[in-house]
Amino acid sequence: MVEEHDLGLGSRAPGGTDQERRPRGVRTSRVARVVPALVTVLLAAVLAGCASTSTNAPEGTTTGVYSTRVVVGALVSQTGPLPALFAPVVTGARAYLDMVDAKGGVDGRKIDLAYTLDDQSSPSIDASQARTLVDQYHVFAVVAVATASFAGGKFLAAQGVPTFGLNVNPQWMDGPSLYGNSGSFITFTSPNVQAAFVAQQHHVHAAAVLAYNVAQSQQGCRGMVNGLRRYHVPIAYEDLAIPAPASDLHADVTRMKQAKVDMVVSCMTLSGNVLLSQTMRATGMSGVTQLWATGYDENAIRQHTSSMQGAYFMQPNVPFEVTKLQPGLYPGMDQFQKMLKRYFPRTLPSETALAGWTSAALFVEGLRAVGRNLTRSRLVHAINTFKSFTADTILAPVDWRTAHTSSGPINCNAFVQAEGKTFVPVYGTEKSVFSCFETPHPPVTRPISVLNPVPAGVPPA
Amino acid sequence: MIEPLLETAGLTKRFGRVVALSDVSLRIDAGGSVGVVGPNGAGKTTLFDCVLGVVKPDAGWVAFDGRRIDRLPTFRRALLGIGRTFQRLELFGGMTPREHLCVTERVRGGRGRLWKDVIGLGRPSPRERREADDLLALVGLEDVADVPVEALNLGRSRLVELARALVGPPELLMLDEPSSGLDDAERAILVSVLERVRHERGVAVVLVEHDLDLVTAVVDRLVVLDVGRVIADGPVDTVLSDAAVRSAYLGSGR
Amino acid sequence: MALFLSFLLPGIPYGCAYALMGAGLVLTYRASGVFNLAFGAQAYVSAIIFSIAVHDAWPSWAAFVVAVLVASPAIGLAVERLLFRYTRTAGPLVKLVPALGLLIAIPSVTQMIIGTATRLPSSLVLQTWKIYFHLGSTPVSGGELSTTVITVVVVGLFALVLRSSTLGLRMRAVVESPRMAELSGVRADRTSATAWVLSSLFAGLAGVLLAPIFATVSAPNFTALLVAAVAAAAIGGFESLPLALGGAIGLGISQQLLAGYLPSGTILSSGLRPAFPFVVLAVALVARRTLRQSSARDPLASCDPPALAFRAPARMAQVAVGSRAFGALVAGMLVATTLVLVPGSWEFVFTLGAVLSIVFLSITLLTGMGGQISLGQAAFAGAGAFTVGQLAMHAVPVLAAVLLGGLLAAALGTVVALPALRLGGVAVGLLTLSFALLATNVLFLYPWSGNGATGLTVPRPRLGAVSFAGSGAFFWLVLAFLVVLAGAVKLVQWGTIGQELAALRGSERGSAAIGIDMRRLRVVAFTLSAGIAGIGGALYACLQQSISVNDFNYQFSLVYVVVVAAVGVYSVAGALEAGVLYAVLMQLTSTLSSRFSSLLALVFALAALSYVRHPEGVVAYAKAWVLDRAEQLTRHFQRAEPPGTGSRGAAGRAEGRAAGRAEGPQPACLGEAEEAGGRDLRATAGAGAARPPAANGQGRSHLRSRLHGGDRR
Repeated sequence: MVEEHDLGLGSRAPGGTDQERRPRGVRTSRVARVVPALVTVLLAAVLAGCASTSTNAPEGTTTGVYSTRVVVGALVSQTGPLPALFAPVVTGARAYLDMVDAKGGVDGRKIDLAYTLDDQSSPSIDASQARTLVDQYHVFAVVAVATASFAGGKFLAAQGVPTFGLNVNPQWMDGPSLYGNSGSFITFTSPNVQAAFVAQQHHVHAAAVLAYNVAQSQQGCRGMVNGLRRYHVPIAYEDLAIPAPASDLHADVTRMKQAKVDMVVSCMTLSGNVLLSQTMRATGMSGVTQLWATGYDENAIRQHTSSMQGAYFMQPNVPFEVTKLQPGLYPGMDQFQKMLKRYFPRTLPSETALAGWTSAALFVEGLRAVGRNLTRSRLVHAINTFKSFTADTILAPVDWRTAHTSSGPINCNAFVQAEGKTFVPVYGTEKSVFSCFETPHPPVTRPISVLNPVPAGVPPA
Repeated sequence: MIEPLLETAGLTKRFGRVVALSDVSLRIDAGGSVGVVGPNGAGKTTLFDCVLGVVKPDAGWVAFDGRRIDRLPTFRRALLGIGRTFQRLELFGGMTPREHLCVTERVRGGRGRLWKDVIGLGRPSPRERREADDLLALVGLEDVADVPVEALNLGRSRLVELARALVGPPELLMLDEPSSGLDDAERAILVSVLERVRHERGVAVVLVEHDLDLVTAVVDRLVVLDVGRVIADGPVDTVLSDAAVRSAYLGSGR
Repeated sequence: MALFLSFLLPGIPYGCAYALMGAGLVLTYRASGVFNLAFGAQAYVSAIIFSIAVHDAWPSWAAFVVAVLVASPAIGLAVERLLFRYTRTAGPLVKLVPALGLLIAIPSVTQMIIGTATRLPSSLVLQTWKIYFHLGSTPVSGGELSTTVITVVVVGLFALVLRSSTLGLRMRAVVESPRMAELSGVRADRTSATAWVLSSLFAGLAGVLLAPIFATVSAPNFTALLVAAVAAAAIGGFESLPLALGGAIGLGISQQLLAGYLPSGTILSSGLRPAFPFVVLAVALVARRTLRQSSARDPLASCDPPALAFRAPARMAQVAVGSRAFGALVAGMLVATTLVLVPGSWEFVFTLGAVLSIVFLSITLLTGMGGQISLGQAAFAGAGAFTVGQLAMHAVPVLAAVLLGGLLAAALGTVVALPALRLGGVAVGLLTLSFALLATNVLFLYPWSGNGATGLTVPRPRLGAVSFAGSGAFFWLVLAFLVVLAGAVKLVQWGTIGQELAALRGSERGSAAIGIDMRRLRVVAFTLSAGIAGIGGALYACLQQSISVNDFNYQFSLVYVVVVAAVGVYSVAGALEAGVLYAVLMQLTSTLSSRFSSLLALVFALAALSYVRHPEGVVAYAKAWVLDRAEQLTRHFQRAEPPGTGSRGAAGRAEGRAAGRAEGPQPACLGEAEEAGGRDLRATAGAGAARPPAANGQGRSHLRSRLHGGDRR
């Protein structure tokens, strides 16, 4: 209990009598009196923790590598405007690492994903958390990154720290030690063929494109706009500056209705897309083809079954449904779902979880290639010679000799459509769920026939 | 005829339906001393507020030193040389009497500059401190010069306000019930201080006061207000024997 | 016309929610003088309880009872009983800081209890997104329908109660003048508690009604709802309920119309919608006369003791020297260990602490010294930071750009201060908050300023051949800035401006009477403070090297004030301690799971609740406690010396105890009450509440005794 304390003369209001002063303790708030004590105790406790964490020095010769384990970290936007999108990356990575560790690890070392830091979706915190992982926690590598902005990428690249994660940020191109989930190259604004392809399939007359005023969302949709324009799909409405997270879309939807829009391409998050769909319903808009950049998530479709009906999604990897539809054809995907169910039964498969899984897979494959004598530069060197990485048939093949700086000549995607409480792969062939397009490098002189999918089966692992 | 120091003409102020001042015209000569008396609600404090610009009159004007001042903000009027105390104390909480006087010296002297503050020349100069000490000695507050004013009793607080109003010194001192809350010793100080500033420094004094003994001890001239009107204005003895005054104000109370 | 209607209709539910919350704001403000920003948090809590309960298959009436009729009023009542009851006579800062603390603390506690999982809202009564009928060709959805009907019914009931019941009569009397109401036998605190319960209920209802319109139940949506409600309340001048209600509906509708008719896809159109309430708020604050007065127009307001002024007590010479030496030792050790011992990220943390200290100094100057509340300091810091970013792109030397950033921020501070001149207390805070919101939602999104969420990259400075790119060198640079600025603030505090500000804080009328130009002084304080914040922001940019609008979000402005007020707003040392503590705690809490990510803000928010009793701040309080013990010990060891000769402070304190306030409230306030009574008493008398006090001499002692007796003990 904090004692009654005289602050000195200055704290007294004039006009108080001695009788008044006596019951002062009763007159003031009880909460107000206890709180300073509580806070002091809390501060002391936390400061005490400070001493213990700051003396955490490495024992091995290579940072984070010990005789029986490799310490790695993760960097995620767990809070901020779009938390649900990024958080599962750790689950996916953990599932893979747990599976590897259960089999004894790599070369006698278990992989310990010991530190997961939250960057609160802020570039500056992202940068400082990246520093914390490397300088304070001495991780060997950062195996699961999924952040709204990846300002820490520059630091990680400069330090040569092997870093793996969901590629939605241009910083992934900052150096040869950064590995995005399906290639590090990212160009948001180059024409995106896929949206135009879907529009063509539906004979769209008036498309609308919606994005948040957040860099990735905005630039991703700018690529969609460019693609639609390139292939002569009329764009009737465009709003690439919706404040994130979307709280109200009535004005946009009303104007879309006014413009007789029959297809919406959205680079918003799941909640924004659901709001869009609901608002369209409440305004009486129906029969609109929807292509959503995010929301391919079983949990999502269970919660928002009616809002998601008919929406298209595209993936740089095989869809989860192949496990049920064509068991055994894509063993990596079967494995992913099995392990996720084993280690994290409450987490449903999602894009981001899969990105975590494939990131961890690339890391582990790299470790295997290096062998017992592990350093950061050896690992980076080894991975950068991988010619065709697919994470065991999950991804369209990635050539890590060039994937840091270019997208390769062919760009493959799998399309799925929401139907009932599940997703159905569409536009694929018997042999492959992927639809591949030649990458349009500006200036493109090719006619619209490029849009015919180039069949490209998934090469054997 | 000499120019009056303070002159008001036709001052009128209403608060809703209440008439606080009605056509009040006053003249105060340099070095003169006037007591303003009247029952509560007669408009004495409103008169002060109108003269100093705290309240904007509905009609009439105010001139100080031969110059119209009724468009100036309060602080400018103060800087022209009007010192004032308040019926309800308006001291600077958290500051000591010495700090009160030092900051007033600085403000009235117009010597404060931001750049001087920043390079450390903003503290009270020895001269300012000396003058503050002189004033503290004058009102008998040397012993509490460095005690925050919250710790002073009402009487001594009033003396701090008096000392603050005396910094400069002003040409005109306007005191609003300075004796309320003072004990006998403090009243004696008040009377002697007023005598001294009037005679040694030639300060004109306007005094609002209920305590007639104090008023008659200090002033030469009395103005009686009732319901916002001036009902008598003249030498103390004449006014006190005025029948209208007796019935309106003094008759009932005394 | 159909298009107009289809833009207009979706605005009505927003308008209704603003109206409910705005009415609550006005009610509590008039009844207890507190501007309860925590209503935003209460609405959030109600919405989340309702949605969880419905998802757990509770019947929706039961969920409604728990969420709206129990939870939110319970929070309101608790807050009133434990905190705001004691602030009735306090200054605006004392009323505002705990409210800010609650606004931050309640959602973070909620997050810790229920976790960070996304919660989906549930509809009340009607299906929110279903079309029930068409108005002409415009479809009307369930959300629009149910929100409107429920709001109309609730507001109608409330008006009925206010007009025709005893409770309403009492409430109107208390709202008019709590003190007068007490004089005529109304239990003002009981009635004001009723007002709190009622308005919390409104806030909870607004939360539950509006929640389904958002895709997920998240706290920021409700903070935005709160600020719109503040704008509505300002339209009503914080006193007229009908005007506030009408303003709220108008605001909701015009927001939608703006979004509908402004060209889409531009920063102005997407930013103006969230920022629009603040434009309205700023205009209302500047335009409405009733908001200019710093205190409520209670005729007896002048009988309250003036706001507490804090002054660090003078210490015995030995203790003072000892504490100063100890402070220097700790600071020196921090600096030395930062440069020599600590690993990289801690070095970064201490540099960040020093940078934040600079930003916090701006609050010390403006709020601690100047007594003015700014809820927009992060915007000034942002202005400095983005100036550096932009200038560095044009090859301006970074150090020069830092100073220019400070200058630009200072100029912005002047611009913001000008309309704030005529406002008092809370209104200045709200005006600066509206500036901060405009900055985050519009100004900082343009490529020529902050470049939105993408942000800018900023290089580390260099001076001739000396590069400050290394973290050690940069730490030195920041330290140099900190020492110079802290010293300058300290000197200003001792100098003319500081003394004038202290005088102004003590008494506005008194300082006018000695010739202080209040307006110039306020502008100077705002300008200096914004300039310091700008330099702090600029250094922050150099430290982080990559900044975006998220770093200078308006919520940081709130957090900054709470942090500084919690640690100690009245001293330069307080700003330094706050900066270092904040940075260190931020680092320590960075590894916690996301559920506890708001622990940092919570610690300070809880500490801010103690502001009611300890305006000097928790750390300053702890220091004073230690120093008091040290003085006792010292005195114990030097018995020979009589207390008082060695120390002015002890002498002063003895004097304070002996002579201090044997006088009670200054009796002079009675006269003013009478003069003002002509108007205000009529109003209360009309409500059957009070009779004017009798003529001079009769009411005085009675009044004084009532004031004493009525004082809560």
